[in-house]
Amino acid sequence: MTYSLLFYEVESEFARREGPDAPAYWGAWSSYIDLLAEEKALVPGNGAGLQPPSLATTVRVRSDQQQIQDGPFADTKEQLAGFVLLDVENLDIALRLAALAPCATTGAVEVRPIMPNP
Amino acid sequence: MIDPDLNRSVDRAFRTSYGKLLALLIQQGFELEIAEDAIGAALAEALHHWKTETPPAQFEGWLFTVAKHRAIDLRRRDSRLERLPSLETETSLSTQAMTVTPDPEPIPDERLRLFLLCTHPSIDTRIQTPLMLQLILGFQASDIAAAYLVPEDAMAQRLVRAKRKIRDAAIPLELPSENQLPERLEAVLQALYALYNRGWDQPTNPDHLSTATEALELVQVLARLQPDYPEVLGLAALMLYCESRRAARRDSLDQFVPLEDQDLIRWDTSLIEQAETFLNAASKARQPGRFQLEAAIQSAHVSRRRTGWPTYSEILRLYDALIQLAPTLSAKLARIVALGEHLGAAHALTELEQLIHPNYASFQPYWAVRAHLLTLLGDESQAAQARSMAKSLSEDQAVRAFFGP
Repeated sequence: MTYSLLFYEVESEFARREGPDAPAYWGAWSSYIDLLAEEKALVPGNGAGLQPPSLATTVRVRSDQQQIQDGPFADTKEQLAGFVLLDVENLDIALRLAALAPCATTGAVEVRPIMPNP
Repeated sequence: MIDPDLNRSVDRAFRTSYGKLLALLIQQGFELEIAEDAIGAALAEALHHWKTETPPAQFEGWLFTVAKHRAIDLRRRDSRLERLPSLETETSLSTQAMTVTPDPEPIPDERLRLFLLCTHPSIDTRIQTPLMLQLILGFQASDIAAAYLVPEDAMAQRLVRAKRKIRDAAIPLELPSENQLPERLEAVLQALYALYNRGWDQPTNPDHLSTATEALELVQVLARLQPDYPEVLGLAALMLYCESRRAARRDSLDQFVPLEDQDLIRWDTSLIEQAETFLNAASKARQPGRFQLEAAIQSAHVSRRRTGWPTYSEILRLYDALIQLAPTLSAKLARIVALGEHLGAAHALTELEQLIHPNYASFQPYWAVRAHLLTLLGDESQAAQARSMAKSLSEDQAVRAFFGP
């Protein structure tokens, strides 16, 4: 079963990416990805960290009109920070691994199955 | 022409077997939907086959054999699963099923996995108990919808959605690991407690009787499956104590009768004895818990009404212990009532007014307790206001009438 893990972080977490906390921040994520690889759960090459929401632009098209808006899709406290794909046997395993993500304690991780191949 | 009595008795026997059949098919690796369809097909064959013959003694074994053969057929036909390497190669035997010799052993009870499946944290809490009623007790969506006062299609849709999620998100059908079990069982207990509470108000309402009866049946099944888990036994005891008072809670004019005024003759002593048995078994484990304490409090009230002991001073200590574990608003209010009995209404009212809890102002029992204490203290005008709030927050006619015209 393949699941997407969508990592959501609060602003203060995004802020840790630079500055004195940066090594700890990136170290934690690096260890986490290594763990997923060790567990043979990670679908390699299918994840990415995302730049902060301030660099996002949102596009909608309504009645043939393009609506382009500065900023991320949703104006929420937690913002999408990155994602991976996991290939594991069932939801409980995916949930267990999701709970280990560095952002789980201050933000959230959404676990959603991907569409099966037709 | 199917004999309606035979139909009914087969139907009843079938419903009580439904959960065991479903759980065993799942344990043997069949998907939920396939298992459900297979059991439905087995029932149809049973009704057809037994309109002229009496059902065999090992009804369940027969049903399981038929259902399993059908499940194998269905799985093979399911194109999504054609790629699975582990398909069995038995040919369809469903037409030969009638001559199959059933297993003389009763089928193993794997229903624990159904309890845990229905209360998996990723399933919407509002659909967890309807799912239990369907998967463990074999109720139709129409009956469940009636119990939850929602239209049948709405309930049917919600159930389908939940089962789709089980399939498409791969919610595991296996038992969780040992160390996850206590937390997962706790969710089951919460769900069963909520189900019983649905049937608590309006004790003479036949629909509510049914919901409470189903909750009682489920908790007792669970208690047989997990006798080493004292909180399960505690919840069973709690529910049985509560249920034992059903006939005493309304008088012959269908008026509300508070615990203190209930006629002991109308308590169901057999249910009380069953409750005591569960509570005693639970306490042997020496692992106190919230439901065991609530049951112990119930037991104490029964004893107090019958013999005068224990007194409210002892009961208060049980409430203190309960609030340490589960500081719910209900428990705090119940403790305040006990405090009032022990130290007087003034003392209790002071504590009530110091109670800090969100939503207290819209919680009917808060106003009921307030009205009770103010009445004891002779403050009629404040008592009347409290009674009016208690009345307006209740939907039970008898309770409303109790609080005044």
